Amino acid sequence: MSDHDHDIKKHVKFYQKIYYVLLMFTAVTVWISHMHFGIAGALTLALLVASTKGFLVANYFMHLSTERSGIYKILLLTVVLFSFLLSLPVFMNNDKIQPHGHAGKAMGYDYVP
Amino acid sequence: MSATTEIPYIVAERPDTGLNNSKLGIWLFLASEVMLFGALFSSYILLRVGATTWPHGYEFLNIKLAAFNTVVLITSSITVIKAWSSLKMKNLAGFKRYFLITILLGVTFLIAKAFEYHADFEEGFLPKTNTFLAIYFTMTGLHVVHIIAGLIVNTYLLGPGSKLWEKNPEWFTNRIEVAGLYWHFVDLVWIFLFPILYLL
Repeated sequence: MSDHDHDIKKHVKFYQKIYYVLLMFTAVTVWISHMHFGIAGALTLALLVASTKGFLVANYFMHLSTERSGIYKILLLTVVLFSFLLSLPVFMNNDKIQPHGHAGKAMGYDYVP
Repeated sequence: MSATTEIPYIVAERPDTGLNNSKLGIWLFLASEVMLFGALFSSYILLRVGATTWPHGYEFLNIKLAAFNTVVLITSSITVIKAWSSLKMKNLAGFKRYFLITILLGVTFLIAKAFEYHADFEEGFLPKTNTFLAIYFTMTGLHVVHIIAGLIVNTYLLGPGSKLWEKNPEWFTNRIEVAGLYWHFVDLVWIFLFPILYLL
């Protein structure tokens, strides 16, 4: 077996270990859903586990860890724009039009001009 | 009179960026796909935060089947890597074996999804039933379309596309790497869809 083939087989064995870790995290995700952490706790944990799995797939299976800087520049722009996209609901949620006057007060809003 | 003009840097890497066209192209495409699914995830967040009530996924959906599908897709990711590694070691038979398994796992995912959708429709769970089911069918439906597209490309590469191995093995290996990157991305999207839609 050449050195080149030996290196590739070594990498494949490593990828198999990543595969078993991904399976384990899948089981953890299902387990989290059965625990009564409350919505905020369950959401945080589930997204943490999903992000870890996503990192493993992107970094190792998609070879991001050994990619060229050109790819990182594309992905950096994507991350910035994606973050903005996910932040939109937060901005919109905080930008509520509140009813004025007594009608507003009747609905529970304190502001009365 | 005219010689065929070969497009440069399909296989060879550009000296300035160290990338070939295929790799640059697929990453640009995947970046656009991130924005496509990102828009849907953003819509999901907005709908959920704005709703007075929101059902848990397990009230409508089959978690066991979805967990099985997650295992199927993760397994298909490792088999596509093994297929590509076989080509790097000049083992065409190994490539065909693992790539076929990848395709079969993709088909398994679709069959499980078909059973799931059928059971949902039988129960009367339709996209028009409520907002949760509308976003669920939209997001998983778009994911299914991506799986189908990946399967079409992979089947071509396993079938008539594999003739390129005889003419230009390096170019063919690159194509498999690029197809593998797309397949990993489809797996990545499901890794986030599964907990968000089914478990929370």
